[in-house]
Amino acid sequence: MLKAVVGQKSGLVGLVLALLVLGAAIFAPLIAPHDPYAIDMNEALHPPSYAHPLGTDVLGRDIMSRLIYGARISMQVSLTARLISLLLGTLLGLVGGYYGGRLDGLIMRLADVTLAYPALLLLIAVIAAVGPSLVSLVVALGIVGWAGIARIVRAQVLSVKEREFVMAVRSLGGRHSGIIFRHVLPNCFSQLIIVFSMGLGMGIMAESSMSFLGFGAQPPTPSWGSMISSGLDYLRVAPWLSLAPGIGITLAVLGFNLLGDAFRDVLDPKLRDAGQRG
Amino acid sequence: MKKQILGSLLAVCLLGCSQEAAVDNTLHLALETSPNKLDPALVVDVAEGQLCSLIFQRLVRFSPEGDVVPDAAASWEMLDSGRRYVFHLDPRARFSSGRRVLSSDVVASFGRVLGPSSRSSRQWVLARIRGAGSFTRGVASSVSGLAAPDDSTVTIELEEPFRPFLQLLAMPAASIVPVDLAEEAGDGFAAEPLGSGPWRLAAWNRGDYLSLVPNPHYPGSKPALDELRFRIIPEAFTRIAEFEAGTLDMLKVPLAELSRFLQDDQWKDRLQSRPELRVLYIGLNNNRGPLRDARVRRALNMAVDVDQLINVLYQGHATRAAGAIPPSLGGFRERDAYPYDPAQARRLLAEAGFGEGFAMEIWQRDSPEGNRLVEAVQGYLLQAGVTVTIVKREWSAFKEAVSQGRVDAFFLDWYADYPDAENFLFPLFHSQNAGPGGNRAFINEPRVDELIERAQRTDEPEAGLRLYASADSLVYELAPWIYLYFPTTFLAVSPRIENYVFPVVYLGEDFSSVQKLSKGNH
Amino acid sequence: MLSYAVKRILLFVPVLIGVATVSFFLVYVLPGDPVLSMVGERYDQATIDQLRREMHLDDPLFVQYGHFMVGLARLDFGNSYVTGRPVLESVRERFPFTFRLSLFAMLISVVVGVSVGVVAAWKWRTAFDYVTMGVTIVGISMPVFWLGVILIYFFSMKLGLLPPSGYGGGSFKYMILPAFTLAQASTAYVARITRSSMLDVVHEQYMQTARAKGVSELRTVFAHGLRNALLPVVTVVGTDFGSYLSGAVLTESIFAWPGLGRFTLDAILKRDVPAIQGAVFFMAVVFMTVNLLVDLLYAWVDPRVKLERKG
Repeated sequence: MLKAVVGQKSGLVGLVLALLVLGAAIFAPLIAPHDPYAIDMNEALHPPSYAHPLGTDVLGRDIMSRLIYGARISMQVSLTARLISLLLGTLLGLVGGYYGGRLDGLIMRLADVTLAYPALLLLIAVIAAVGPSLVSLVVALGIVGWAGIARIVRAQVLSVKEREFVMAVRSLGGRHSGIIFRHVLPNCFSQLIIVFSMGLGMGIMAESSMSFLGFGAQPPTPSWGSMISSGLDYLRVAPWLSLAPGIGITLAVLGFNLLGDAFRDVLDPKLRDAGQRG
Repeated sequence: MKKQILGSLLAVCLLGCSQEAAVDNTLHLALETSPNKLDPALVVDVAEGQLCSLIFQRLVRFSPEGDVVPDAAASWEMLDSGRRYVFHLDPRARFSSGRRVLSSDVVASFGRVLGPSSRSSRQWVLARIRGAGSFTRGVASSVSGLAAPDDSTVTIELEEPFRPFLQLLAMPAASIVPVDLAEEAGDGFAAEPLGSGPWRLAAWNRGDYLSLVPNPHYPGSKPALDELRFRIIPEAFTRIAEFEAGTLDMLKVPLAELSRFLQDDQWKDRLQSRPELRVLYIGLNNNRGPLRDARVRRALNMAVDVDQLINVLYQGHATRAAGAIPPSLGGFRERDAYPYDPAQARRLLAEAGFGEGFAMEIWQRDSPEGNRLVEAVQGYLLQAGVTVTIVKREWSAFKEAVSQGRVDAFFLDWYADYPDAENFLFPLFHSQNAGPGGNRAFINEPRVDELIERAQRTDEPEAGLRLYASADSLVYELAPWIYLYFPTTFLAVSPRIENYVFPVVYLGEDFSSVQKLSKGNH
Repeated sequence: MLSYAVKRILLFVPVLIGVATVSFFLVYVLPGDPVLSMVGERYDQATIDQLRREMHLDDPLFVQYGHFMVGLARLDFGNSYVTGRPVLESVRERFPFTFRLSLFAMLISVVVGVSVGVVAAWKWRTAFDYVTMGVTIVGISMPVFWLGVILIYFFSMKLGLLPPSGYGGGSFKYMILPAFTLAQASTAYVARITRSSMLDVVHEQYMQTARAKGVSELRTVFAHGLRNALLPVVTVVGTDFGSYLSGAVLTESIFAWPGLGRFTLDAILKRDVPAIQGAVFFMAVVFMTVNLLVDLLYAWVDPRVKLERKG
């Protein structure tokens, strides 16, 4: 499968970008040239130079290092949130689709309610209620994202449920959990992989938007979104403060979008261009 | 044919693009936040206060220099060594509806703020009038110290002499409102205010702009401008872009841009600066954990390099605070600031039993200035072994927690309501104001209370100032805050604007003499 | 078709109640006493207590919830804590600004998106195709708020061509930057969809015949293909119109645009509970309605979908 993904040029680009971001996230302490938290007021607002390839911010911190550590924040938030959505959504989608009836109705109405809100608005309201922090952002993102996944999984379950082999196992008296996990779930995998990889890009975007608005990462945590917003005041004097993290976000999201596209083309060619939204 | 259409299109575009502001006689100003209510009884923030002071008259007002000068009252007398005041209203004062301003309006307006069903949080402004308390509690049917013997005379009697009382009367809460109209309008009055000030509200498009035009009945000289237009522009970088595009006539220069403006040939001569009557500080809750110990609080003051902060964040344009009273006010005294000495700070902490350091939270509101500052302080304190967690909350959640003493430390600033040192001492350090009243560091020191009270009562100005200074020194020694600085504000003024003087207090500007040159003259 | 429509519309009601309930409770748990945002720096407890009583803040939770739901049924969103004005009035004032901006953004995304998509499909596997597809995928990946900042930086600060922010009394040039910012992701997306559905139609059915018969025939084929290819585009554009409400929160705050998005963000920052409840509920209803209409339209145009989309 990976071969097929890399076989597409855009898939290769996506993979490289995604690995770059992941690598930066994992190996941040090894590759960051400076301590991203070290304040040195004597070094404040230096333009890009040899010592500071992307310059320094208003407290004299190295932007390059903060950018690298920012990848870590983005990936942590995005991955965990996406996993939460995936677990919640898969579980509820499986249960609803498999058992049907009232339970299914309830779950689907809950999904409708969740999807009735413009996503960012719901996120902001949730964060305002529980107080801004990275943990609450992760949880909120995870919860907001369950509904779409539940719908996809449920649809898949419905179609698999009626297939002959499942019917056969059922008529032979197979246990429900056994059927779900052995026969139904595996049939959802390719869908889930697509949704997951595309969701990573969305998660990065959501994290940076929320941090930009001040509802995400709290200082001194280097988050791309908050780096942009704190650089805004200096847009005229030190544009690199906002430019660098913006490029970081774009490349990271681009990577996961391309990767998601490639996965989709390989796993489910019918679905071209569906579902990937920024 | 085609060419003609193209030509006229081009002409329209050129006309449209060549600055529609070319002929207008409007002063374009920016507000950072959208005002909510323009009812003087309900006003709480600076922008609302400034707008109200343009729309409404008080008995007296501030001149641009910060002195108390006549407004609706043409003259007044102070009797009984500051216990009683008699005001004589200007017979020409008119509301913008055309009705004369009567002394009964003054009494009713004050009653509106003080009354038992008032929703004003500014009752303290008038609470020193005799009988105000029992009127507010609903015990008395009127304020006994307030009277209107005839249509143009108001007498006010205080519980006890209060030195800055006239300054209190210049605040927005003491505005004169046409109470009949206000009562008729109910909650709607805050959206359609009407007063006797030099300007009246002509349009208010929420979230977009407010427009004020001259009050035709205002007795003073008619403003040279046709309109004041306040546009609501929250982001600093867009305000800059607007100003440079010529669509704003004045710009409070954001700190980040200060050095660029100071070096820019076009602007450096068009900058006006003024030390603000405002102090920034990190309040330390004197009732909590390690912060109970004055040695710890002093140590924190020594751990932060305030001079360096001023140099970097303010490009040197702020005055380090070694006390709460700003240098431009009487009662200011020069004293040695806590030195930046991390080693000494660590020693003090060890002496107090915190040699290993400790952890605390600093609460703040989300603002670009605050974010930079608190993050820097966080960095400095870490070097002294104090681990700081920054907690950002919106204003009401912030205020609730801080006022109830539930947080270790908080970043806050204090704007003068009136230019008197009393306003920097009584609310911030008197034990009576602990918590919601303004003393959020919960400093409780009888010696401080006593000095402040004596200063409030004395009718000898010099003695009062000495008492203020002593109180300030005593508080500084106790270090209830990490003292930061008094900022200086820089205002860039478009070359088309003449006769603008940057006022000492924000309420001191009425724009009556400001002129705008048409483009050709420039 | 009719029964599908009736079913969808009936389902709308419980979801509406759910949305109202979630809007109420979400905001109910907001920390911070809303009264404190109404008073200034110096205040006393008596004023606070009185205000709390007046605003029914001390009523039991279910009573407040009941008030809220009954109010909604009567189209009364309550009065703002901060301005004292009816929330519905503010929403009615602010929404047209958002609507206007969204409409213009939609126009941009359709006109630019479809033309780019068609040309890209026409010039399939040429430089134009590769470049536009590259640009559009980057466009989708770029954060809205950052693009807004960059546009202001170049077009207002550096070039001085367009006003950086504000509504400008309705003047067209004030709308250009915010509308392009808002339309960015959608335009890119529409271009991609148009291209790929054009290719599907064209290549599957007509490509070979067209090749055989020459270029002029190919043109009719494209015209024909476009009609079929537009179906998914309509869906995307419709759904996007709803998502502009999300984008509006960011775009409107960067460009000081006096719409509902900024109103909501302001309300959240000021803990103006009735305003948040009202605005969030209203936006959700608009969002739902648009989605419903799109679904119905889609089902009407293409009857196959109702089987797949039910539930």
